[in-house]
Amino acid sequence: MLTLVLSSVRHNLGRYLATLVAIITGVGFYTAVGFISDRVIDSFEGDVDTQYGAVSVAVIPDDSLEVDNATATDGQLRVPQRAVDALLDLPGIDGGAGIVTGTVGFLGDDGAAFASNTTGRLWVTDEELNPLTVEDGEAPTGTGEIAVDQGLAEDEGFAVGDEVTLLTLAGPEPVTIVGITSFGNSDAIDSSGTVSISPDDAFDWLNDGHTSYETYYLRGSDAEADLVDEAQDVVPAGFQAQSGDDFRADQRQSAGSFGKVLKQGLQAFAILALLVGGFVIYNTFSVIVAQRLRELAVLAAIGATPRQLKRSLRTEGLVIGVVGSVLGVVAGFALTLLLDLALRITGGSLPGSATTIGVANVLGGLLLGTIITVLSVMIPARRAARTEPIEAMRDAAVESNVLSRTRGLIALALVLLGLAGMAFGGGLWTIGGGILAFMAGLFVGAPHLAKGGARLARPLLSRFGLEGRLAVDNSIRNPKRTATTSNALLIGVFLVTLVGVAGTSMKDFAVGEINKLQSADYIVTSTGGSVDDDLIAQFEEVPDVEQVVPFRREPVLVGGEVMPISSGDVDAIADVSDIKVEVGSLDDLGPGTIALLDLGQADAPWVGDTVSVEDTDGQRSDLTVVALLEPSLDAAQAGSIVDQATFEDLVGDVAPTVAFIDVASGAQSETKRDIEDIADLRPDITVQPGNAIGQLVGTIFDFIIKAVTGLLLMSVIIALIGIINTMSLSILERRRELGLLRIIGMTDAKVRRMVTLESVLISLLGTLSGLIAGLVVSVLLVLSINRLSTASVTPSIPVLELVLILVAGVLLGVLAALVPARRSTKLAVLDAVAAT
Amino acid sequence: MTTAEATRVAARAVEARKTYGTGEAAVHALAGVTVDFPQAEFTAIMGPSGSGKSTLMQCVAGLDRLTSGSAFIGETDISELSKNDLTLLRRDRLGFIFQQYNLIPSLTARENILLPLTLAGTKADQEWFDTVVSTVNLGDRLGNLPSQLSGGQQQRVAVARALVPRPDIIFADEPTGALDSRTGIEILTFMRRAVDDTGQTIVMVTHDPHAASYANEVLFLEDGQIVDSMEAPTADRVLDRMKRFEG
Repeated sequence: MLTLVLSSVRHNLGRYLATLVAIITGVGFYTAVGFISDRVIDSFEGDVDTQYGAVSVAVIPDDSLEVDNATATDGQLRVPQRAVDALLDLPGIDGGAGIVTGTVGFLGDDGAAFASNTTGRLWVTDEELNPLTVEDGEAPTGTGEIAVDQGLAEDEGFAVGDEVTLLTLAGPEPVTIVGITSFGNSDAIDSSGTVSISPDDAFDWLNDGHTSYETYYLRGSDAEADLVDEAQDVVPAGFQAQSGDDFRADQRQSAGSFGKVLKQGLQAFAILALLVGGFVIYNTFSVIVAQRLRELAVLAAIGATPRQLKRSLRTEGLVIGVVGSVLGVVAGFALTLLLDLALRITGGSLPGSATTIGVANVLGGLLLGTIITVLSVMIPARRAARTEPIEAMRDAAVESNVLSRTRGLIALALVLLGLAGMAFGGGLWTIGGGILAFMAGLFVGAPHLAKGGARLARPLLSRFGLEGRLAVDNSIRNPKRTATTSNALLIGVFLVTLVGVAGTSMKDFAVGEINKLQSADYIVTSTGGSVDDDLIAQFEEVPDVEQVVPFRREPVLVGGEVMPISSGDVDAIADVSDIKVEVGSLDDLGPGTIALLDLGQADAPWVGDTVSVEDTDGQRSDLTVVALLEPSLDAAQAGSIVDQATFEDLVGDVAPTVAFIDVASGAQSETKRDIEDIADLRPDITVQPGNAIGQLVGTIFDFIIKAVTGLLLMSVIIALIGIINTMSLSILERRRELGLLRIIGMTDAKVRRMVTLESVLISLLGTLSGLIAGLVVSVLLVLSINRLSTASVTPSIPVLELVLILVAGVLLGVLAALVPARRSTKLAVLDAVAAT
Repeated sequence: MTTAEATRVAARAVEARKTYGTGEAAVHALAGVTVDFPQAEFTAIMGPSGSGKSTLMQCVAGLDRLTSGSAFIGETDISELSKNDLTLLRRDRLGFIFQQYNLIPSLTARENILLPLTLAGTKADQEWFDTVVSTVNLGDRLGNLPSQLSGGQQQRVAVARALVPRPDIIFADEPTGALDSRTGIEILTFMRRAVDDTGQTIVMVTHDPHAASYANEVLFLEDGQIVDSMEAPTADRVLDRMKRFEG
């Protein structure tokens, strides 16, 4: 039997081509994604060891005090030098490294800033803890000395000995590049480049002159656990001591988790593509069984049992599945190398040094491809097993276009059930089940849809003449095959539409809600520096800027939670921003009182209550709450508000670090550019447009919608292969008929047009049903969200995109017909007369 | 017949050669055949298997190309026509009847009969259509699909399809090969009547001496050459002649 299987595979290789391509594409994509993600994960995890390999104790901000993102600001707690001195004095500690970073830039001779988003870092003098390696020149140890990373040096043409102007928080500084550094296998720690600054300058240039650190790492020879215990006692408020092993494990996890999520997401799309490929495989084998009916019948007549017939088909599927999967894995590896090469040529590179062939990826690809192939062959194999010996005596395979009524009823019931589930379901299970039932109904009822759709299309296509009419008739001669072909496309189009409509609706809703929360036009923040009078004056000079409201801000512990407190011209702040009082009044604000940001916690203090506020040095004050502030984006920027005297009492007399800018409505883009130009010359200053978060969220949504759509293209491509496959196979089946048409006078052009029209019909069928299904499901989903929550999301239907999808569907049909149409007229007309 | 200048010629072949393969392995399906098919006559081509009888018909009918020599439909040298012009020539001037009825399964009997005219974009002569349909006795089956017709009925549809456009010449390849003898006689009678009553030209390839007896003239092929011909054939005489090939 195996000999028979192998010879059959060899003889029908042409017919299996599409099946192989479908498997190879899916498996190739799956393994390539695995290889690349593993490489990214490995490289990120490897970086952790390069960066923190020698750390015994890490003094890092206490996670448990982290507040949610809405209130997190760039203002961080810092490890003061006092604490560092105490830590270094501990027995068993051999050395330490503090992390101080800040944004720096370079000033060109022409007065314009460049590389203005580079990260400046305090040079770590402890050699074991220093993650950087000096590749050329020497370490920056003296004042006015810096080192730049390899990538930056290459991009900007820096060399050891160059004298340049560095833009720092302290202003432009003349510096000499004394060294070029590298980081493990990469150029720099920071994605936008690293400038290492000597300890003499770093605190002035990056940290506004304060000798304090973001985090501090200790190196010691004693057991890590003992060192941690010792350090715990001297760690400043808001910080915790963690053992090097735990710290590295955490870092590795957070670094690797990105890659893992990426890998799982991408591989999910690859599996989807493979499932779509399942339709192609199923179709191919169905056709092969139908064409080989006579051969199977002869086998049955001479004594092959149904079980043997079934097994022969399954074995054939297994052979094809294994061959396709092996080729797919090879293709996946080739794809990875190709991508790496392409990136290298264009000047980029994949993270990490080399691609390793992970056994899990290879096995996963092989198993997936083979299992999906064998599963797809199940039903055709059962058909083969039912072959009666009598069929050997019959004329060529009879195509049946009779569809059972039961099928129609089941499909209808499933669709209705699905719609009901989506429309009235009260939870994830009922709604998810509804979607599944709806889609299953569509698949079951697809042959009926194909028949009905073709009937509807008949008047339209008949306008193309006889070939149009014949195209319609051909497409419903075997409605099941037509349906399976268009179903492959339906899946892709359905998901694209779903993501497009549901995604756009959610995006519009989210962006709208976020923009409601903010009214200040720009928020200016200084990291490490201050928003000084000079800067405010510059902003005020910009045309259309109506008001610049600076205020002082500092992170402290309020009632044990990290939260910024701010102080400034309270009336002006309330005027330009969206800060609103829920309870109480800002007018009551005076010494010893606070307007507390309402974080929505149940046990939050109320007006009249007292809260304790603690600064990093551990100094405490008890303040009376006079007002609760409504949470909004502007309010989150400011945090809780106190009056000037209270602020100075707590924090000291510091300069303002934040400002709201109010711009006349209808201001031009020039205003924005002017404001940004001013900020560019000050590395510490960042300007955020008031709707920045809304824009950011919108951009993220757009990116996700586009990325998902792009990834779904993979399944659309496989569906395209499916149409090519079906058309090619049915042309082989109908070669006698095609020959006859050509003998009695149908020109080749018309024959090709007939094939093309049938292909377009199939692809339109898939596109339209996918589009409509996608619309129905996404609108019902959006309505469900509204029904089950307080949100009111308006379904946004991106008409242009939908029209584009439809046009693409027609083009896909034409494209898929290219090869089969050419083949249809390549056959000798004499096939029609040759008796088979 | 080859010298009958008084009769007009519907199709002819001149020094027609058809060779498959090259060198030692070359097979000469046609080894220089020159023949005229006179108008308004029923010509049968006979010969043992592999004699080249089908090849001759296919090459004259423009279904296959000659290796050398030429073939004419009327005065048109079809060896010089492009593929497309050849298709149009077949559509406008030739009709075909095959052993396998070769109907389009999704078209009704009427639509199958009218297929060549539909392809050409012309209308049928209704009177002629009715005449043909009643001759082949299909009146009440015109709305049926081929799958709803018997083999004999399907072949009658195929004959009607060849007759309705009034082609210059009809080529028939074993038209009765798949039919029982009674239905076969019916079909041959229709073809004979078409020649007698309307002056239709028919060229038929067959290996059945009885079918050949309906022709005006029988040509005998052997090894790619015409070796004999017989006017006013009867089944017995044809059978005798055929037996000589086997001897």
